[in-house]
Amino acid sequence: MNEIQLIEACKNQDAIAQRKVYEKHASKMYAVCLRYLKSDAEAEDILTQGFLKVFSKINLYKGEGSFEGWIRRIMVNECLNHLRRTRAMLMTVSIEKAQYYEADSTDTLHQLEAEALMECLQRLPDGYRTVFNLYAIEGYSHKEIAELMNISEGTSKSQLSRARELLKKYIKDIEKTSNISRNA
Amino acid sequence: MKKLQIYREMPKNEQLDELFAQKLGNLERTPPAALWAQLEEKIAQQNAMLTTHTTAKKRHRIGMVYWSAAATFVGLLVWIGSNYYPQNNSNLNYSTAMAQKAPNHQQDNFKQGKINATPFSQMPNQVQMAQITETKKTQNEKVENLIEEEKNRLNENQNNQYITQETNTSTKIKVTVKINHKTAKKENNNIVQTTPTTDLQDIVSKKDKRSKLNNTLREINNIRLGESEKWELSNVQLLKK
Repeated sequence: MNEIQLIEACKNQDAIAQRKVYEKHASKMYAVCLRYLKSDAEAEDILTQGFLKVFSKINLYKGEGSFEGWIRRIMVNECLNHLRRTRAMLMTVSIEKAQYYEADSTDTLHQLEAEALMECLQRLPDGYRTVFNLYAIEGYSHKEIAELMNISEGTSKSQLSRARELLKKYIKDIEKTSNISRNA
Repeated sequence: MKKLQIYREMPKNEQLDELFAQKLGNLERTPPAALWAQLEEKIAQQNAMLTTHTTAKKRHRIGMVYWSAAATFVGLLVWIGSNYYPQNNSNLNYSTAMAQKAPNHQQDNFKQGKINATPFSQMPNQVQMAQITETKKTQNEKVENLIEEEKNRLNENQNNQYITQETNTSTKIKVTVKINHKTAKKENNNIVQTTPTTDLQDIVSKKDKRSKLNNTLREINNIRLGESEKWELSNVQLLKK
């Protein structure tokens, strides 16, 4: 059964087809949820809600663009909605803190394994992480991010630069610990 | 400890973005196995809610159709009743019980088959009510007619009495007048010079005074017997004078 047949079957509320779609995309979408949300429990909740929405709104999928991309957009939107609901102070980071992070931005960057990078990403504040995820990984423009997060484009740009500097700092920290472990 | 590949050179911002996109963009993490079961339950709940919602909508629609049809039917019945019932009211069906109690001419009609022999208890409520009201109406009419007849009879008797009284009065008056005239004529013929006769002769002889006399006579016709007697007495006194 190819993807089009699976989608048609899902439109007819076929449980087997739904399960196949879930098995095919769940691991990727779970990773997406984990990038936006810190805890596994939150990510699981949002994954469930996202798939519920996928199966209930599957009639709206017209075949324009990849099905995976459509599901991913739903998951990203669900993550953003969840962040909006649960974290009212999403975008507030003090200026002093931001300047402190920028002071360490001249260090060298290391290419890390995916798990280490994920750890760095999850250490970021919610606002920084969301903007970085949307811009660097999902490929949204600052204008789109501003609309999605209900912020100005300037805020989106500043959040992105601060997120980058913080990531550089985290990577440096990881490098230091790895050097210590090697020397030991 | 995680494996690290260290870049000695300082990467630009774009390189950092690319690194994260490459490593994390297509990252896969296996969710817990129990998650599908949860999702399946939620899907079933959602479907059940949807079906109940749709059935409720359907029921609502069917109910609306039913009630609108019932309302139309009732309205139609009312319209038919209001338009055709008064016309058919005269052709009411009489029950056997009513037919037995009915007057003789109605019983004759019943025997001849002109009136239907449907039992009263088996008739519709509307017809029963109509019959009851009809009988009440006829009874009332009869009573009213009787009262009217009685009144008319009493009036006639009173009128007759009054007429007789009037006639008696007028005849008496006429008689008296005639007598007076006769006496006057006799007295004239006999050339008996008496004061009352001369007065009367004067009154009778003058034409203008005749009309006055006639008027007084008309008025006297409306006066009762006692008054006419008084008039007679006064007239006699007048004649005596």
